[in-house]
Amino acid sequence: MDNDCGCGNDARAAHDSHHSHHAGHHSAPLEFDAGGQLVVGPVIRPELLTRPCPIGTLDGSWLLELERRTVFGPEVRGAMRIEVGTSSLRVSGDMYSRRVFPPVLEPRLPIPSPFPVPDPGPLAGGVPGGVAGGTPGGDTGDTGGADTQGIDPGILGEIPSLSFRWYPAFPASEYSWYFRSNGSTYSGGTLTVQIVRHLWNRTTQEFVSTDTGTLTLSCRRPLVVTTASRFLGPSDRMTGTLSIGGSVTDVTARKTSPMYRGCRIEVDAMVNRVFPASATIGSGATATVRSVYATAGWDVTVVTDEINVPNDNDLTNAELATLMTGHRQTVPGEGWRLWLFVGSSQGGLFGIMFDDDTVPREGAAGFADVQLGNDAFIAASARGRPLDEVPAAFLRTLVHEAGHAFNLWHPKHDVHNPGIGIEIMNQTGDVMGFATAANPYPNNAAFVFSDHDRTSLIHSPDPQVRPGWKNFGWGHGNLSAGLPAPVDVAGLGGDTGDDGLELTVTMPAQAYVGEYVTAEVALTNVSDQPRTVTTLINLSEGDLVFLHTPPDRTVQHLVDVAVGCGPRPTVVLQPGESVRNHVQVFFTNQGVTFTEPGRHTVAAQLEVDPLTTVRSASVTVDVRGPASAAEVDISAKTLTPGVGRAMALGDFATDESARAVLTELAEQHSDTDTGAAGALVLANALTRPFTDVRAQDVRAAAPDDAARFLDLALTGRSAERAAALAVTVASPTERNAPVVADTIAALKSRAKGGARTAAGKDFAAAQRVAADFVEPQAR
Amino acid sequence: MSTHETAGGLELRLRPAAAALPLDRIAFADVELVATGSPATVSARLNLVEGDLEILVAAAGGTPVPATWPWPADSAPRSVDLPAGGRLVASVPLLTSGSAPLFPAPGRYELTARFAARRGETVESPPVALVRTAPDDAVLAGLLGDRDVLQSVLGAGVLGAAALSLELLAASPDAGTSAAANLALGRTGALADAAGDPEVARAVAALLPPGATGQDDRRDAVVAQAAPRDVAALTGRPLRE
Repeated sequence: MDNDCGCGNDARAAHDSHHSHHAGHHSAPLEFDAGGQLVVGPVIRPELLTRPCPIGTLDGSWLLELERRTVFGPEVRGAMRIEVGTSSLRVSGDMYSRRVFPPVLEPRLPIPSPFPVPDPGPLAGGVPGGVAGGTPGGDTGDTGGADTQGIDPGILGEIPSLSFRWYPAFPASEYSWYFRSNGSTYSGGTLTVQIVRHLWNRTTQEFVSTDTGTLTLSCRRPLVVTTASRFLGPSDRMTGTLSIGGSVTDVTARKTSPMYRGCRIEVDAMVNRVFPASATIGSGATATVRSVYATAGWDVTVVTDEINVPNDNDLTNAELATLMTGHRQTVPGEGWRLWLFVGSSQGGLFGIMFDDDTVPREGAAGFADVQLGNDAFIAASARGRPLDEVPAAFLRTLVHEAGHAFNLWHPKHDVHNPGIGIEIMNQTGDVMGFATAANPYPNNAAFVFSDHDRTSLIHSPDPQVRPGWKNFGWGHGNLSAGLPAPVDVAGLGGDTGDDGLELTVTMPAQAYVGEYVTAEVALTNVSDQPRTVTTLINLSEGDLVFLHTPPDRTVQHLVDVAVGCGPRPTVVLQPGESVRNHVQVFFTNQGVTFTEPGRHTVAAQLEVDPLTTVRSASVTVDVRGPASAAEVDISAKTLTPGVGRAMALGDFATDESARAVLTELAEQHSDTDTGAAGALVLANALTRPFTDVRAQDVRAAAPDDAARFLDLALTGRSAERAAALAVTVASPTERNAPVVADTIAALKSRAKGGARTAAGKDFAAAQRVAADFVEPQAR
Repeated sequence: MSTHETAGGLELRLRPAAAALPLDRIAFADVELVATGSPATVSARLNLVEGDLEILVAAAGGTPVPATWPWPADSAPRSVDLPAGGRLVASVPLLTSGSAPLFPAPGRYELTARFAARRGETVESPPVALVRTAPDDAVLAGLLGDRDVLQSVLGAGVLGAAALSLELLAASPDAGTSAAANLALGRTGALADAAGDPEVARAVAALLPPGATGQDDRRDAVVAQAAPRDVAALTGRPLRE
């Protein structure tokens, strides 16, 4: 198993290159001079060394291409979606084939472009080079090198930049087969997927038979990411084989987006009716059509076009169909698109997906004039109001109707019986059924799709989901129950990686945006044998990583802003013993972690030894907006640029503005953990001088101020909690951070009573927390 | 009319307009929700548009298929107060499941209605039979298998290329079928002229369900001459027994 801290240490990489069997990567290349003579000794090019991609790299949309056996063979390519959850991985795809005449004798190879290529814009599927349109051998345009100025290429190397997200789309007439995972593994950078293939009959427009096979893809990324290595071996590319139907074919997969599917939604509105471009929903967050679909991994581009469609106070479906024909833009290409109309009324309906003709599901409408009722379970401000004067309710209606255009059904009418709830595809009446006077509609509505619908949006076959293809009712209704959902990859779903070890994460169940959040991580030997495990239970040294899933369901890998390298110290855990540590989750390599109100999940993954990685169960953190005046003030302070980084590093360095904000935070809010954390950062920083090497300047120590801030932090909280906060503001790579020792010293001077008193036990607990920070002990 | 009383004092009754009907005619049925005991507040959405009412149709030995509107719709809940013995009455078209014909071939079909009368309470009617016989006019039967025609009838407006077919259906000897076609063609006068025929009132009530559809001159033209039961179906006002 590759064992690398990922810190990009050239020397370490060079060292590994001398042990290719150890590194398990490419052999070091030989280099010849201009005269053709071998340059003595292997040339070390660390950028050529690779390691397995983190599993999160797989998450998203991929262009999957099968290599043609002969120039006369069909061109087979399509979209593959890999959904990586905190404890699951699912794969599905839709493949399209065609024969190319005359045959292409020299298939054009993809040419990485060092320059930005035009943004495909909202026309998802409008692919550079014409792949979506089916141009043979077209190049999607490698995003390598694009918009890299001033940005860490290591970050860009992970995923395509925003400007280059696209979603493979091809003519329906070329559709050949759908595949889904049926158990698989991801190990050492190799994804092995047992697939079930559903073959499509282009004449009957139905799936007609199935077979099974194996898709194997290797994903590796450079050990050291440089601009050059991004061209040589970008991590957004996988290669492998597809074994199915008695043959083995080489395949290439290129990542097109960290999301799964895309669609362009054109919005037209009748005169004097208002499209809710955004709305404040019950959680306090701002929602849009785009943000709601993003929770299902969909990249929806909303284009508001006409806003003065002539008035008609009562619309029939025939009139809606005519309006769609007359007002919908003509858009070339195969990108998915939908027409969404903001109309007047149709009886008492809130909305309707009115298009079920021979090219169905291309249009839906919401009705602005219909009024909400006067019931007590409707928010007072919404009672009796036209729908377009209640943005959250109208937004929900429009997202709901668009969902029908993607062949989603009302849960109570869905043949799979998923059960009613408050999610998007429930009828409004059913959502209102869960509303109360205390939690009225639309505040009580969840602006997310149910798991059942989300899985369908991500993984159901193109003919079912893509507007304009199979009629409404195929997949969840009376036409067909659709195909089974992909099966999770074996070894991830609920598998912790080692039955003898248990990794747990403890975090607050609720937090507000801007609140300082910490977690306690514990590794316990639950076997009956001693186990040797790492003691690097922190986010700074490569063994521990947090998998964070925000409400938009993307997966982020969280580590500290500063990552160090070094040997892996170990400790022997006797049966029943644990090692544990506290870490801060407020600010990581991804910035502030909990910026978005809604439901977040966090799971930990720890490389216990070179052969063992364990995962924790996911914990849920419900994040809300700041509520009280104090919370609003704290949030404003902690979200100030520079403050989060200072709290993560335990020092504001030369950022005097961050120092000023931290000072206010500490002095005004030390009664809260967030304020105390700010005080501890200042205590840590001001205890010692700080040398600014570049500016050749020295910030003098201010021990009196440090003591004052430490006192603020310790006042009013238990010794154990104070110590936990102290060890989280200190950088784990700085085990002698003064704030830890100073905190324990100060707590000791305050401790009263013997070891058996409550205060004594509290102090002892604080000492254990501090000791575990310096070197985690088996207990 | 077949009935089934629930513990909550509600009965759902389903009755096809005709026990047997050729396939070249549009089938309609009457549905009634009756408060058999004490007064009750129930959903007013006794129609196929809004999702509270479901009618399952099963051929002999076949899997039940729901009679549904082609288009999914969303609306706010509406309720109505039924006095003891009061009835909420409605008419429904038995024409499609989605956009496909509901009765693909002659035969005996079993119909069952389900209605979400109150939150957490679904009332079900006992099964009733409807026999679809071979069509008298194969051309008209063929028209009633066309997607555009079916959607035009259910949408009460001309969709796609259905206009000519609707003209032919408007000339049907069956008053209900003719009324449905005239409704789609927007012929208010023709509906007013035949408003005294209960088949016409039933067709208009079924295809312009009150609440789910707004004020409509075509409905108004029929209400003026309709019998009390038909007026109740056309307006959504409950009948007091």
